[in-house]
Amino acid sequence: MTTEFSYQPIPAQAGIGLRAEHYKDAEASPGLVPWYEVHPENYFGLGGVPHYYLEKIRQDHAISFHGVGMSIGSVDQLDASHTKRLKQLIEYYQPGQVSEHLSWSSVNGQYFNDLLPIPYTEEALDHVSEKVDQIQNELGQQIVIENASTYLEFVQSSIPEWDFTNELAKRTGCGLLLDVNNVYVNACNHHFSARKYLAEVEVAYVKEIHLAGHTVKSVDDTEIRIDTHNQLICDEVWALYQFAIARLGPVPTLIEWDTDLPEFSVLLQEMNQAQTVMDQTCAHAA
Amino acid sequence: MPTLRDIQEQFARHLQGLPTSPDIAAQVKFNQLQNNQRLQVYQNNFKLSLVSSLAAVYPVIRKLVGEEFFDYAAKNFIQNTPSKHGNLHEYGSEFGLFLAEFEPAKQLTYLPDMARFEWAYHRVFHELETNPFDLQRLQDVDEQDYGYIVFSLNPASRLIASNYPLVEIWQANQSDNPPEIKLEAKKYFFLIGRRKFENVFQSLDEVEYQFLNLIKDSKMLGEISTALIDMFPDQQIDLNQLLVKNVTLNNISDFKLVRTSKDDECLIK
Repeated sequence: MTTEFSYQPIPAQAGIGLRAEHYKDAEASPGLVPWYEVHPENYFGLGGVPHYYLEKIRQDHAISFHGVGMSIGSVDQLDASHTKRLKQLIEYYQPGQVSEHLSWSSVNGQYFNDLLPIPYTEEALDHVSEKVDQIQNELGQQIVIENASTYLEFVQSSIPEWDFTNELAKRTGCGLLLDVNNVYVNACNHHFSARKYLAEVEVAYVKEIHLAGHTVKSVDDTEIRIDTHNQLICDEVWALYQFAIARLGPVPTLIEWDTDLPEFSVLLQEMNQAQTVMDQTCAHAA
Repeated sequence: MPTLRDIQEQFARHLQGLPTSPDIAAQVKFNQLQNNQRLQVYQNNFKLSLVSSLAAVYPVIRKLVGEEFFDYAAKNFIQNTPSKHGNLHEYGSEFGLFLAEFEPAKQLTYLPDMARFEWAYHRVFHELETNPFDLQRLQDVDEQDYGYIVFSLNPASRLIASNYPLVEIWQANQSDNPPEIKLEAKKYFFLIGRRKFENVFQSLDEVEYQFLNLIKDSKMLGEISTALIDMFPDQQIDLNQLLVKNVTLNNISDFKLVRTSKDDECLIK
């Protein structure tokens, strides 16, 4: 790895989450997608195919890093080797943005490699704020925190999620990644108003939006929505996206698709639809 | 009120199917669904994500034993072998060792070696790219210092010895109708590597396998020569031919001179 990249901010346009299955499509169409997002963990290895393509793609595009392995909400210490490797990748690829999740995935050194829920309490807010401060200090830059999808709530939770994330951003200077699909999934699972959530998020903190598809499952005749990232974005989430953009203005918006990957063209269609919603909503507002 | 640590520790126990105290189900709210059903979603996600990660690393094992048995074995493995990394690519190195001890798979004696083979295949995919070997620099080394050269095995290389024809088994299982493979009572030696962007396999003889193993262990060329003569007293070993072949194949990617005969002279004085 010898190329030198210079910092390139993420444009306030729609982009695509890049997975290995689409490397060749992305390489063959430089400039077609305004920006790509990748999971940095897929590049923790020192060489090989992943870096070959990421270097190629980075030459023509801004990229953002969207981490899944820092376990920010965990009571464990940060994994120093994980942070160190992430920092090396940031220094090399110069991503326009670095994000992670408001969740935990490990305790007492054991990892569950899933985005597990935290209770929204003062204790958790203090704890996560400290962690975010520490990460920002170690990486030497702002990070952006995504609201996770959840399938249960804790009885201890005393702070609405939107207040929790707003306060986190206020205390630490981190940005917020507003996953509109997660807001919708949680609103359905926990019976609150998704529009109320979107209306309460502080505009200035939102640095990025995620859109994805989810799965509806039925357990004993009760509907539960699971954030599977394996299908088209549903109409309700598109409507919420429009609602969010009307408040926020143009925001970098990512199409996420992680399993049962479709043809690249399907992701392009979803990206174009997001761009159209953004353009039309912002033009209307102006 | 339970602390954040209490909640996470009990949640973690629940994910592993262990009893929790205080009961984690009493800590969660739900709408209509039973507490345990909500928690079950996480238990399922945790297991499915690690099973599918293992399935991605061990596709041939999965094909050999069938999906149902693979999932059963993988779930047992997950229960016994916690993930220690936030990076999922690190998970599963001990699957071969587990299969060797896993009672329902004990008669499939080739599985642990096949698992080692697939883990090696997975690891070399992410290893560092090397520069071409610098022959000119090697030619500049004084002939009397050859014994002090330490060569480097290309980092995208793994060496495996087995009683089974692992490459043949691997290749046969890339198709939907794998042909039957005749097993012979003999020892097989392999190098699994990535050269440029393709994973490659090389069948080795035992001398070459030991030669590359000694290089991997950072032994000096003089030590390698002595060790090979000790290991194979009845064989004529052509060290030069081994070196040329393995430099050409990019199995050896670099070298360093750890000391020179001049250093020896100083020591004698």
